[in-house]
Amino acid sequence: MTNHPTPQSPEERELQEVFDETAELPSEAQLERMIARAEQIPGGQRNRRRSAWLIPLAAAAAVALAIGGSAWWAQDRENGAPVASTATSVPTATPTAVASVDPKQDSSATDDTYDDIPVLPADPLAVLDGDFDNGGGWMGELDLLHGPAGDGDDGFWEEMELLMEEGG
Amino acid sequence: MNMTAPRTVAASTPSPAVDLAVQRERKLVEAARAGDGKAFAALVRPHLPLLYRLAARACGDASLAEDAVQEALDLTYQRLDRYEPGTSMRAFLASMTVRRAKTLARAERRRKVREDASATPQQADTPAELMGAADLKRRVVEALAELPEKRREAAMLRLDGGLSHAEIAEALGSTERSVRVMVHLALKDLRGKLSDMFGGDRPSQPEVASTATRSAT
Repeated sequence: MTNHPTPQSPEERELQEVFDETAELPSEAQLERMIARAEQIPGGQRNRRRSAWLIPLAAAAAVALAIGGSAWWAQDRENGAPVASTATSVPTATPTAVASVDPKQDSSATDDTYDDIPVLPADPLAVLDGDFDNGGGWMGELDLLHGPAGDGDDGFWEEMELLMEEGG
Repeated sequence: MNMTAPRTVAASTPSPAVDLAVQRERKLVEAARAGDGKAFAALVRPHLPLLYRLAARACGDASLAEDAVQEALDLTYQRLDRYEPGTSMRAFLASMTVRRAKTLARAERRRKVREDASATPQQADTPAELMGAADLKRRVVEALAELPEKRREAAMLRLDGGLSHAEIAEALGSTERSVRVMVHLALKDLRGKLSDMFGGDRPSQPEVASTATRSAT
């Protein structure tokens, strides 16, 4: 019977009996288990709190890496190391022209800058007509990507000539 | 729950024994806050049977009671800094337990609805079983479920938790006067719904007594 700290009316006592009689009580084993689990709670929550620090710590580390990485990247650029193309240095060649070049053979990809890349003529069709001042014809179209003849791409063209001779 | 106003529940004029009890409780609370698991267990241990009983009633399912108590203790530990030693730890724990049990029971009901939708229909209980102890418990749970939420909590804290009106007020964040009214109305409703259990219609004592089971593990 529940031991009430305050007096109960007879009606309440009757109801109390019904509640007492239909109450579920824990077994000894359940009690022991609950006590054992209660003992683990402070340690468990402390570990969770400790782990919770790892999340902002990892985030801070990621941000620091990103900042450090970009600073290193910027410094590399100043020193003239290869850099990824940026919006200002992306060649304005047509996508089809880009796709037609084998990157393995593209020696310009190792150039320090893209300064030598010619600007497209006002009329792009002039390239196809061979009127572009970069050599003209289809070779001229390729020159859009490789720069004018004699600018250091000779190795590529020599290789091309050899291949053509072998093929011929 | 408003636990900020310290209130001694054991007596209006604290005796040396009460002071000692408060001091002991304060030490346990401080040690538990510092991460001492045994101190926390010692703090909650005397209340565990009551918490289990409350949880079982609030869930309407004894199999959930242990988990509900565990979750309530977890929550209690998180909020231990809000507890003022010398106030009612029983009320503090009981209110957490009733709420966690309610949440757990709601989740369980949703899960059962999903499962029942895909499961094959099961055979209904036989009339004999319905007349038994389980039916009596079910009727009490159903009668409670029909009460408005605050009244239901007040009734459970009163009849299962054995809390005083002042402690219930503390647990529910209400005033003692409101709680007296809530408990009165809840008891009146319950008596109305369970009227056949009183007086001549009430099941015989041996039959009813057998329903106060101690759950097997």
